[in-house]
Amino acid sequence: MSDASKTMEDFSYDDVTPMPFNEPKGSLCRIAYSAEYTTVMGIIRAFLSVKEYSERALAATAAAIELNPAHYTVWSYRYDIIKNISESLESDTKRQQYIDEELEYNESVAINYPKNYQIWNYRELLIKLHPNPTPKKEFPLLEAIIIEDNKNYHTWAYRTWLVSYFNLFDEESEINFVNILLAKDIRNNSAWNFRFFLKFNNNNRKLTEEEIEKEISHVKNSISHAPQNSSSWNYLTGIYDRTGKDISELEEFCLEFGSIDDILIEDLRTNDGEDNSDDVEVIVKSVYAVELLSNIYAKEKKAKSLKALEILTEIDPIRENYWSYKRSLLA
Amino acid sequence: MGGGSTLVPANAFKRGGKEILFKYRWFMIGADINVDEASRIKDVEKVNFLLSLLGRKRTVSTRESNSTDYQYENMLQLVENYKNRINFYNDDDTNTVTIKDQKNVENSCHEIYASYVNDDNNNDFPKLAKREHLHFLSKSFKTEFPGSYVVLDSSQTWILYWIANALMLLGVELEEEKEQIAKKVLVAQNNQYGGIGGGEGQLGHIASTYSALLVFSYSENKDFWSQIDRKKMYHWMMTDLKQPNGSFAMHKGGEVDTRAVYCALTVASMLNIMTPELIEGTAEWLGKCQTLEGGFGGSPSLEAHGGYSFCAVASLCLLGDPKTMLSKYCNLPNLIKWSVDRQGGIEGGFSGRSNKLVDGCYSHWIGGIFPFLEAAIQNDNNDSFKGLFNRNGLSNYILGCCQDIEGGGLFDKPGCRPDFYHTNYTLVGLSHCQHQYSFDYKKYELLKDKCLDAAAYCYDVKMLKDDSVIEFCKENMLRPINPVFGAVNGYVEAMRQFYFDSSE
Ligand SMILES: [Zn+2]
Repeated sequence: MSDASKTMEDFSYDDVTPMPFNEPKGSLCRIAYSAEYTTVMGIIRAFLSVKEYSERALAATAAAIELNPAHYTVWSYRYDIIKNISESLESDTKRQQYIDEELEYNESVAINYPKNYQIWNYRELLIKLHPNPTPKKEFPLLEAIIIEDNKNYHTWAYRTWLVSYFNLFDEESEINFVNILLAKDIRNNSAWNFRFFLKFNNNNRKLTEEEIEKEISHVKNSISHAPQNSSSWNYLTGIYDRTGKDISELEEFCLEFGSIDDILIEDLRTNDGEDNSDDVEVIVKSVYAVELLSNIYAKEKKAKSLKALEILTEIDPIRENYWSYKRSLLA
Repeated sequence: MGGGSTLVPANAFKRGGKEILFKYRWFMIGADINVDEASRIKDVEKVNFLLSLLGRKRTVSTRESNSTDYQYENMLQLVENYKNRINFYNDDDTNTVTIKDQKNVENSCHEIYASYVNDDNNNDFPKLAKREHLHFLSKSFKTEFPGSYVVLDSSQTWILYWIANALMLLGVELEEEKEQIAKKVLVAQNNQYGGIGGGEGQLGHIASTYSALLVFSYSENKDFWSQIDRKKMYHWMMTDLKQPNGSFAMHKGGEVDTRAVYCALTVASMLNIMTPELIEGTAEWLGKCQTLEGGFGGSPSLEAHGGYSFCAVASLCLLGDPKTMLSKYCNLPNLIKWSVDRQGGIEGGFSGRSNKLVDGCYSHWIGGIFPFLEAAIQNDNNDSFKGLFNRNGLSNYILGCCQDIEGGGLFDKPGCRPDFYHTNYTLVGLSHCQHQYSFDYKKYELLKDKCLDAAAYCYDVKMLKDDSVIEFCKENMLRPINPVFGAVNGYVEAMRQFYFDSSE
């Protein structure tokens, strides 16, 4: 059994001469470290210089992480200690237990500092070191953090890594997770991106034509519920990009959200004091639909494409320069 | 896990330290979302109130102040867009966190813009509060940070860069700080393993090294410059950081992402230690990080994100000319689309991802992608340059929504407090608004066979004078930057020249 739950108070550091900070007072952006931080870091630096890998060194890193969880040098050293000690254990069972405990420790820090860069990378290193890793044990932690902070980039990155590393693309749990999150928030772009990863970056196999069609109708359905959602439109065009399908087959679908022919540009122009936003509502339900139409028409129906870009200039004026750039490409 | 509920115990773990208590409660997946009906009704009331204001004020369409016409017009447009936005939400999709958060931010920006547009007292449009920002920065530069800043212990070279860069952008010439800057950087150099760390006695970290070297160039002192161990740096990068797939890690065993690649390439360029081995496979790896949406994720398959996208695009454009690199290694039209989509029609500022909120720091992370995009599509008769994004809009966001006009400093969005990171990157973003960068393809042709990073040194910069693109206002002007490095123009170039000369 390791000394995992021991703190610095359980060890003696009498033989250690802490390495002091040499930065002179009055230097720029100097931090007035607390006495505790100075001592703990001094001990760690002394250990680092002689590469001591021991339980008391481990206890010192925990104390440092508690004071400053963003200290990558301390995390890196902690990993070296864990690696060193675990490799010295005589059986896989003991190694497994030792690393499991470390995963638990890491989890407690992750829950408190979910946006920390070091934690997830550290976890990845531990899983790689583990003699018998079980990815499913990771899910409760990931779910806890993602449910609370549903676009947390690092957590999604870690989940993506897990799926790749353990080849979990076809696990029910993964697509279910995405579906639950999208049911809660149809604009969760991280979930859409993860869905695309599961479906189209699958290491094991490519989707069949039938499955691709199913995916297309799924996203179309989502668009119908929220026509002005960039995530689902990007997903739709992403599928077409990835599979090389022809976007012109989306013309009908797009027209449901903005019928280009029926729109008079003059109607879109807002005149002083006159509120005609109601008219716009009837004819344009989605900027993205009109944009896609402009792309669909760009090859063979330039006049229509231009019209779409003109409409976009009116209804999405912040991107005026972009629409005029797109017009210049048609010339 | 299935569709049911997953529970995480509100537990306490013990390991080599004091107890760390879960700050979290029990979580349940699939629990119903609480629709806060009251706050929704309040929202609607507020919208109606603002709309009534708008109707009244819209008659004030010509304002007798020539100098602020375009800024005013732009604000008016942002206000107008706010009114039209309701057309794009329907009952089905308004109850989500994304929409709730988005509406809050839209409301607070709108309130600010409407207060200027509807102002009968003819108050000035927001200007850059230079004096206050200078005060905020120089005060922080010299006074000691309290112990609570310890979480920034491993970001010390970053803080140094954020503050110094912001000061330089504002036009300050550093004086006695130069020597102190150089000493602080050299103290953070890891003499045992190579690289520069976040502070004294820390492991070399490529992002710390990047920020340290940017600010090191501002010291303009060859005696200090010559104290960087470039050999060790190169060895460290090749053995501890470079990955077989062409990417880089932040530090030994550290995370691998486009930020690390960007920092590695800029560091190698600044020190003139770039070799074909160092950059082997790098552009290809970066290309794999482009997502279905057109932006770049931190690594392949991850969501497109402003910071990672800037790093990927700037990296590609360090390795070659923008036209070639952004067509060969990525889908340029998709990248342009994703980048312009980041600008909020009501806020004017940039968001970092689809369906995320605007944030002042993306004025650089997204705004900083445009010099490359604009250079990639530039044609030679660009006398009527309009650019690809709405410069007056971003400028309105930065000046109107991100400034602490009393205490100085800039921030993320209305309601936030200023910090050094946001102060620097919003200012860099404002500088992007005010300048046009073009790529000197002729110069590049002459240089490209002599060094691998020639492209980073081929950008010409012009101050924009067309008010319809960006309202010219002398008080708001900032210095231009080198778009690849994100540092005030001229200094990194001089330092690299020094290393170039000393390698001969
Ligand atoms: Zn920010």
